[in-house]
Parts: sequence; C-alpha cells; structure tokens
Amino acid sequence: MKANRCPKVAALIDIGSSETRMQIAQVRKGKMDRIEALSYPVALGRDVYATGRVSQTTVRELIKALEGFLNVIREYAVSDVTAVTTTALRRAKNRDLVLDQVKIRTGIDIRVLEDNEEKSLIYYEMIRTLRESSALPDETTLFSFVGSGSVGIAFYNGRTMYDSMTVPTGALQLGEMFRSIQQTTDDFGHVIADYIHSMLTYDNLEVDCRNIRHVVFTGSMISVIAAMTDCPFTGGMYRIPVEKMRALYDEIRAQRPESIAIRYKVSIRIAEMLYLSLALYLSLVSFTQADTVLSPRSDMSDCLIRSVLIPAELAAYRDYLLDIVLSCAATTADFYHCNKAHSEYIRDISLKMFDRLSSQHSLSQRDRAVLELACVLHECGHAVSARHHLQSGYDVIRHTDLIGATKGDMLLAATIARYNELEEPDLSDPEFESLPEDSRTRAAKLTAIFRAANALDNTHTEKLSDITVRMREETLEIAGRTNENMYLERYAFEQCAAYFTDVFGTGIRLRVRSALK
Amino acid sequence: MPDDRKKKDKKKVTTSKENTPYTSMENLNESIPGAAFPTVKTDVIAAGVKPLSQPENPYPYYNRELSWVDFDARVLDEAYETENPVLERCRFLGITGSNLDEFFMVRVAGVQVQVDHKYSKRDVSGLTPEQLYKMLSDKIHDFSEKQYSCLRRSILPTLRHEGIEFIRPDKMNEQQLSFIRSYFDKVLFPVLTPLAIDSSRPFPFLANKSLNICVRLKVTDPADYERKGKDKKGKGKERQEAFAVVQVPGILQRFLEIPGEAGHTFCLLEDIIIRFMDRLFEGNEILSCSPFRLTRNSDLEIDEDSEDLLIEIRESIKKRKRGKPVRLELMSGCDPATAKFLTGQLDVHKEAIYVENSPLDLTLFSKFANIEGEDRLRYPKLTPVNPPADFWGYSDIFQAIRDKDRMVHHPYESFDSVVSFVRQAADDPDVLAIKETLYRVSGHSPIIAALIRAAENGKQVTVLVELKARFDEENNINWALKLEHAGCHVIYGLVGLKTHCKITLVVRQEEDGIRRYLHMGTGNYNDSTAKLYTDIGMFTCREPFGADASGLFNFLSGYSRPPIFSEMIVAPHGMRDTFEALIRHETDNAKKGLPSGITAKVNSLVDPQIINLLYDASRAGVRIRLIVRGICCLIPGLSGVSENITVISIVGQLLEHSRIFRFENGGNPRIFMGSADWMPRNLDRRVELVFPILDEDLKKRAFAILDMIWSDNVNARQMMSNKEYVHIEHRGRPAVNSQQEFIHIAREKFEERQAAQMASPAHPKESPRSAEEDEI
Repeated sequence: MKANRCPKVAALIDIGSSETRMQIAQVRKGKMDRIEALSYPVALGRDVYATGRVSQTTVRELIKALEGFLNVIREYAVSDVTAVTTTALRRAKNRDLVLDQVKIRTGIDIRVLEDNEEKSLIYYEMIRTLRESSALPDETTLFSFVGSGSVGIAFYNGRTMYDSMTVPTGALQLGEMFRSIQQTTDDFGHVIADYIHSMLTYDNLEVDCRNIRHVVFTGSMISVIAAMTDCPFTGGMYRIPVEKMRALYDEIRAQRPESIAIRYKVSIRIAEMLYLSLALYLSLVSFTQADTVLSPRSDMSDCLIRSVLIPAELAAYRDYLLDIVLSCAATTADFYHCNKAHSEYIRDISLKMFDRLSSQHSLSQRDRAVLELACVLHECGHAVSARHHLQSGYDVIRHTDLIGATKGDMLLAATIARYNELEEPDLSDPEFESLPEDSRTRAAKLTAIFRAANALDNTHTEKLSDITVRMREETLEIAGRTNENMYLERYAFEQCAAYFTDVFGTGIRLRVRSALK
Repeated sequence: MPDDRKKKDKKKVTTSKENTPYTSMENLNESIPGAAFPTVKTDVIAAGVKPLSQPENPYPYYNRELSWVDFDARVLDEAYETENPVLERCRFLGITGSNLDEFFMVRVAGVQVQVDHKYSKRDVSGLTPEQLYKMLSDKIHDFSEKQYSCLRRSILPTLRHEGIEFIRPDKMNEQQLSFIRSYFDKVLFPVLTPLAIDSSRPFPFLANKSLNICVRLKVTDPADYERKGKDKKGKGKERQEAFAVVQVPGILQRFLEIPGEAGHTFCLLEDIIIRFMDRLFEGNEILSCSPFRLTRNSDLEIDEDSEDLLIEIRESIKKRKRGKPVRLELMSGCDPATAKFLTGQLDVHKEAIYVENSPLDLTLFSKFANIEGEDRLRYPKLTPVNPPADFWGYSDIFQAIRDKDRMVHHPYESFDSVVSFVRQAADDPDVLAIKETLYRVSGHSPIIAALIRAAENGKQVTVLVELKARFDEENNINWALKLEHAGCHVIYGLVGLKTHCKITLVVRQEEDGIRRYLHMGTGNYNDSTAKLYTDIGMFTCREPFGADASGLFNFLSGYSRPPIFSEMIVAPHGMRDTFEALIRHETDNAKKGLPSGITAKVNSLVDPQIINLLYDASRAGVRIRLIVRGICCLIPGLSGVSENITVISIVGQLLEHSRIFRFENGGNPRIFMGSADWMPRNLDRRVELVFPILDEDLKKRAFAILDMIWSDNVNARQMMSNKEYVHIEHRGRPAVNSQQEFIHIAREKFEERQAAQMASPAHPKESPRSAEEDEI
C-alpha cells in the first residue's frame, strides 16, 4: 500500500518529571485513535529539584528510554514525531546540554514547553472531556492540575477560563519540603493549606473561590485516589466525593509512606506522592463549597498529538487559546483599571489593519493574537505610574503570567504596547534591541499597526465610527465617520505614518467623513 | 488406533501407591514451594473431621511431587494398556523414562539439596524435605519395578508375538554374531574410549543421563596399572584388580537391527560392547561388565543481574552438565564389587541407588516406537485438517481475521494456519512489524524461518526468546543468535520472570489506518509439538486486544511499564488477582442462589491460594469441574470441603496441553484460554497470558470443546478423595474418547465445507488446499 494512501501516524513524546511517555496515534474515521501508550520511569525531577541539574546517569536513562521509543516508532512508520518536556527539564540548569546530548544520540528535538503552555494544554483537555461528557459546569468552576513540579489553578466562568495562577511548587518539591518539616509536625496538611492560602491571597483569588460549587482536578495521583476510594472511571472521568477524599487523607495522614505503601500495595514513591497530592487537593477544595471532585482524563499529550493529526483540532485549540488568553488578559486589565472600551476600540481597528495588510506582513495568527493582547493590556502601566506608564506597562505585561501565552508572546506584547505616537521602536531602545532578530521585525510590524490604531483613539473617546480599512494605490486607507473634532487624533496618527511606511513600504492615510448628512 | 470405544470399560484402578508415569517437562520447572502453610493433616480431614480454613487447621493439600509421580503412573498405565498398539505402548514406556529423568534432574534434585542442607521446614502438604525424599524414593522404586514389569511381562512378549524381538549375544546364531562383530569393528570400536581408573587417573566425569559400562579387570600388564595394595604379609599381588569405564556412545542408536529369521530382531548396543569388551582391554582379564547410569542435578542457577544474560546462561548450562548426582541406576545382578566401587566413587545417597532390570534407560523405547515398516503397530496417522474450518475459503489470512475472530484447535486442525500467519506477514508489503514470543521451538522451525525472512524484507521484527526455557536453553540461544544475525530485534525476557505467554502481533498498514492482528495460544510456537499436543489458538484484530498486545510487548522489551490491560489477563500483573476474583465471584453467586460453576482445564493445579478458594467455592455450593492432566494438589470429594469438586485427568494418544477456564458468572458464562496453569510459578513468576473469548460463535465452540473433554470416559481418569485415579465407568453410556471425537469433528467440518463448495456454483474466494501434508 502506498504510504500516501494511509492515514497519518504521529508520535508524541512527553518527558515529564518522573516518567517519559510516548503515545502513537492515527486518525480513524475523523477521530484520533491511540495505537500505543508507553511510559518509562526517568526521574528527571528528583535530580533537578535536589541539585538543579540532570545527572549524567539520568540523561543516560532518558536516552535509553527514547531509544526504546524510537524502536516502536519505526514499527508504525510514524511520519511525525513531536517531543516536549515540561517542568523538570525547564528548570534544569544544564537543560541546553541535556537537549543537545539527546539530539545527538537519538536525533530527537525536544521542545521545552513553558509552564503556561503546559497548563493551557491540560485545561483544554479537561474542558474538552467534560464538554464531551456533558459534564462541563455552566457556572464558576475551579480547575487545578497538581503536577510534580507545580500546581496550576484556573477559574472558569461557564464559558471560558478567566483567571489563572501557577503555584511554583509541585508534589515532588513539596516532598522535599515535607521530609524536612516532617520532623517537627505530624500535620503537614495544615502547612500545605497555609501555603496554598497564601498563594491565593496574593491574587485575591480566595474571594472567587468562596462561592464555587464545582471543582475539576487532575494529576497523576487522581487515579490512585479514585481506586482507594472505590470511585470508578465512568463517563470519561472520576467523580470523587470530597468526604471520601478527606476520609482517606485522615486515614493515611498519620502513617509513614512506608506503612502506606505496605497497606495499599503501592510503591513508597506513590505513597509519598499520594499523601502530598491529597493534602494539596483538600487544601484547594477547602476554599470552595464543592462536595465532589470531577476528574476527567486530561493528558496534554492528547491535545498535542491531536493537533498534529487533525487540522481542525489545531484550529480549535488555537481558538481556545486565543479565547482564554484574551479572557485572562481582560481580567488582568481590569485589575489594573484599564479602559476597556478604549482597548476594545483600538483592538478592532488593529485587527482590521492586520487583516488588510496580510499580503504584506507575512505574520502569523499567533502574531495577530499578540497584537490583540497588546491592545487589551497596553494601559496597565497607568495604574503603576502616570509619568512612566509606557515603561511600567512594559514591565507589567512582560512579567504577567497569562495562561495560553508564552514568555515570548508576553515580551512581544509588552514591546508593542511600549510605544505610543511619540515613541517609536529603534535599536537604541535597550528593550527593543534585546529582542531576538526575528522578533524585532515582527515587533516592528505589529507596533506600527498598534501605534496607528492607538493614535486614532488618542482621546479615549472612540470618536470615529463605521471604520473601514482598505488598500488604495499602495496606501492603507483608514476611513471613518464622525462629527467630532479629530485634531488630536489626526496629529497622533500623522506621527505614526512615517514609521508605518518605513516598516511596510506602504503609506497610510486617514479619511474622516462627517456623520451629518 | 484400535477402537477406543471397546477399551477401558473395565474399572481399572491406579492408586497413588501404584506408581506409573507420562510426558511433560513442563511440570518440572518450578522450584520447591515455600512452606507458606502450616502442616496439613489430610488423613484427619479424609477421616471426616470437618475441615476449617483457619490458619491452624487449613485445607488439605496433596504434595506436588507425589502427585507428579501419580501422573507418571497414569502414563505408565497407557504402556500397560493391551488395547493400545504395542509400539505406542513402547512410546508411553519411553516417555515414562524421560519424564522420570527430568523429574530427578529438577524436582528430586531440589528436594535432595534441601535434605543435604538440613532444611527441615514443612511444605504446604506438611512434609519435611527428609520425609518427602524418603517417600519419593519408596514411590519411585515401586514405580521403577512396574516399568520393568510392564516391559518384560507385557510389552516384550507382545512384541515377540508380533515378530519383533530383542536378543542378547549369548542367544545369537553364528550369522548374527558375525553381524554384530562386524558392526563392533567398523562402527563401535572407533568411537569407544575406555577410561581407566587408578590413583593417577581419577574417576572420570560422566555426562548426565549417559549410559556407561563399568568394567572390573584383572590387570596383567603392570605398566598399564599401577601396582598398589599389599597383602597382609606385605607382599605385592602379582595381578591387580582395577576398574575402567566405557561410555555407550550416545551418538549411535541404542538398538541395532540384526539379521533374523522373520520380522525384526534387535540387539542393544551395550550388549554388543560387552560381548566384545575384551577387544578394548587386550591382555587383561575382564572379571565383570556392569552397565550403570547417572542422573545429575540439572537445575540452572542463573545470575539474572549479569550484564549479558546470554553468556550467563551459556555458563550455567556448562555447570549443569556437572551437577551433583541424584540417581545411580544399576542393573540387577550387578557385580557387587563394582556396585560398591561406584557408590563410593559417585557419592550418592543410599535412597538414590536404583537397581533395575535390563535395559537401563527406558527412553530408548521412544525412538524404538518409530521403527520402520511397522505402522500396523502404531496409532493410525493423524492428519490435521488443513485449512482449519475457520479459514476455509480464504487465501488472505488477514481478510479472514478482519471478518471475524478465528479459532484453531490443534492438532486436529493444522498448525500450518499459524505458520501461514507469520509467513504471510513476512511477505506482505503492508505489514510494518511482527512481534512474537518464543519459548520452545522445533529444530527447523518454519516460524523462525518466516521471521528471518520478514526481517530480510525490511519488517521490524521483534522476537522475545526465553533463554530460560528449561532444557531448551541451548537451542534457544542458537535461535536467538540466528535471528539477531538476520536483523531481528531479539530480546531475552525480563529479569526474574520467564516469558511463557504465546502471542504474535502483526502490525499492518491499511487504508483506514494501522491495524493489529494477533494470534494468542495455549501452546508453543513449535510445529513439531503442535502435532502431539492439544492446543487452541485464537486470531483476532479487535483493537483492545491489539492495544493490550502492544503494551505487553513494550513491557517485555523493557520500553515501558506494564500497562493496564483492558482485555488480556497477564501475569504477574493481575492474573492471580483476576482468577481469585473470578472464583470468589462464583462463590458469591452461589451464596446468592445465582447460577454458578467453574470448569477449568489446566496441566497442573498446585497454587495453594487458588486451591483454597476452590474449596471455599465448593463449600458455598459452586459446582467445580477440573480437568487436570498432571499434578493436582487439590483433593476432591472430601466431605465438607470439596464434595462439589470433581477432578479428572486425560492421558491419551495426544498430550493434553490447552488451558481453558469457564466461569458461569450468574448465567452469563465467560470463557478464557491461555498459557497459564494454576501454579505459583505461572501466576507470580512468569509472564503469562490468558485471554477471553468474546466472539459468540467461538464462545460456543469453546464451551463445546470443554464439554466434550469433560464427557471423555475413555482416556479420562477421575481423582478420588483418597488421591487414587480410577477410570470412569461408562454405566451404559457410550464410550467417549474426546481426542478421537475432535479428530472426527475437524474432519466432518472440513468435509462439510468441501461438499458445500462442490455443490455451490459460486466460486469460493480461493480454492482451499486439499492436501494435508501434516501427519502425526
């Protein structure tokens, strides 16, 4: 059979903190069909959380695991291999060297997923599974993922995620903490609860929690907890009563991991993780009114491999990402008292310009999203410093963790929002100069659009209506209707025109018509 | 084969004291189970004392070694059975010999090691190693007598009646003597090496199971033998006595056909050698020639942490050849001085000396059963049906499996279907990968050839060769290297676990995506034993099975942790728990008044936990039918313990080998098949696979197979509460020989389809092959 007549087969390797996993899947009848699922224990996390580095022994183990996976990959004539890694390798000081060694020995390029990317993938899968099972709550819901390296918390409003945070301490790291605190207290659960509470308080998120009746948790220990509380996996998820979780926790809290391991026939590692994960879950749930924990299957690998195999899935995931990025960005903008109407207004104009210029800018949909992000967040700096609002805004945006956005995205958005009609990017700006070369060009193009759009609402009064954007004789013409005085906007707009032309090689002009007939 | 329906309608009792043997090294592979249970007073329970399951008074348990000898006794029954063709009786006798050899090499050796180390803990059956060793020795001595009684009083006279006889040189005429003289000169003499024994030449190393002749000599040439020993007066003897050993060459056939007046006349090799022994010791006077045979401890000690398991096993095989002697067989009438000399030299327990009739080493009769030109004295040749009914009309085996699950019952249906599966996969351009487990393979295995071809054709071929398959280690190492050279990815199994499951996975790229085809079986991928062992195989491409199979191979390859299996039951990851749960479920159902019942066909039932659960089930009212070919440590029919349990054992022309498990499941019966027996080793220390039959047609067929075996009253013997096995009385019912019935069923199905094809104007997808080359 000719290869091109066969459905595509893809492999996804996920190098996690405690195990390296691979799945191979194909498309059958339009749906993803998993063919293989392998997991091999490689304790990257142990090394990294203890020493900050991955030891050579562990690197060898990782390479051995990947070589085994490659054998299986060959058995299925896999056309597309994606390898990603998350917390452990992300935090390893010798990350680049490890990646290089793996590349040389196995030929596998590993992409290091940022924390936000990882979490957004996980939440996507959780939402997707719940939606498929018609179990997605239509009111505010707390989502959480307890990983070995970090804990993700996100809030869902019945339509989309609107806020999120990452607690940079996962079960494995808590384990290290646990071992030292264990000597002084036998109720580590309270320590964890305090810790979680302090993290939520920073963002005033504990207020949001109070009225929440639905919690959706995931993590590697959920299936163990479900098994121990006799909760079967039905309808694509576990449903674990909080009461049962608490009873299990009460039962094991006074036991040493060794005793838990013997009693429940699990390894000591699992016993330890079980205790810590339970403590984390119960701490989170204690801030809410929920009486049942939903736990759908939520493997980020599923989302990644589906995106490779099914173009529509990729598009759906992008839509979701954009949706949550902008929703969370809006929450952040609210927090900084940004002018929402102004942001929406210039966002609309920017996107019209972006789309009209598509044949000339060769930018991606992701860049379009970053432009939107810049529009939503560009006023954050005002809440910090009226005098240095541009610089403050740059700093705030750059250091904001937004689920669905990478650090690169945030840096780009911060750079775009850094300029108004009076400031334009050039290499004398240390921030602009520090961008990677390819990002500089993208930043320049997006900034040119953003500045022009922003200039059109210089007074934050959205004077122009019926705005259209079209190309006329090598010039981008923005036309609108108003009866109001547009002098200030015109002035600002003209300040931006030269730079715009520099960037796109195209002129730009504003055409204002009277609204009076 | 004679009409079995006439056979064995008389009640014939084989008691546990009446020791007699049958095939199967497969029963020997387990180490002595630990004394996990306290002493069991079976006599108390048998006497009617209500048994309880409390630790201080657990359920009865029959010692597995003693049970094994009983099993071998049932095989010897077949050698006694005058209605069996006489050469088949010879074969059964030979099998009892080889079985007993292996029993000594592994099981008796294990007990002896415990005795030597003064290990005194009682086993599950309540016996100390010392008690057991003594009981075994007594039992095997009795058994050995029976073997020779069978040979001399029953088989040899029958052979003579059929014109076949063995004669010794002293009864030969001049022509015959001349013939063996010539044979000795031309063939034997060049390969014989007498090994002298004296102070400078210590007792030679003798190979395990080799037949030797110890020669006592009067040395007349002092140059050859050192003078030693003085008489009381200090005067040196003129002529010294000495010993030498001559090994009967194993490379030559043990029996030689010589000219005779009619029929066939045979002479044993050792008799020829003894007749002309003086030629080997010219100048010395031969005082006596005494054949003897040594059996050694052959249990491998393998360091599985070794860097290279293959090298480690090779080394262990070398050591095995030098294991401690566990049995010395002497011939009755053996020269007393020689006997004393040998027992002194070989350091064997008194109980380990077995004085037997001629000839030593009855395994020769397995080969003798194949002498040419005497088919009338053997079972009629069994021709496996090819193609099996389930594959009728298909030239594309993958198409057949895609259409529905398929089942093949060997040897009634040809093993060729399994070979074809691998062959087609090897040549099919759409096949990407083949994975297979190999435990025991035949000498010129077509499966291996197909795997090699597949690798040469660019397929990804992964073969798990179990190097630790007892007594096949060397063979498997050779195959493993051949496969490796051909480009296959060969893996040697897992540390601490023997891979015993029988599974082949074919990954195929098809228009609608990757599809996995599977064969799972109850028997080895061995085309030779597939002609003699009754086994069942299932082909499927159901996706859950495919995913489970991939997970299993990834685990075996060391690529992945064991997965959670959705359909397959895999040891040691959950098989014990699953079987225990299934049995408990029946117990619960019986207590609730729901339909319940268990029918299990295994080669051995040894596992104490499973046995206890079966007793529990019986007490709850579950009707339990057990078909246990070999060792059975459960005692049926005990009041208050096991009166709902019936145990039968089938020993017949073919070796019962399939493992089938049926659970009534509240009226919705489930049936499973696979590679596992109910023994601790299978459930805890091996990778075993048991699979459910899901296809409704195949389920019905599997139920029918099990029912047919259960209805056997020709080859079946029932185990009684006193551990004796008795033939099942017909009581007016027709005789049922299940193996013969399966032969008829397979043929009938074949003929039905052939007739349908002839009658149908429509052309089948492809004409089936009508020739059945496979013959038994």
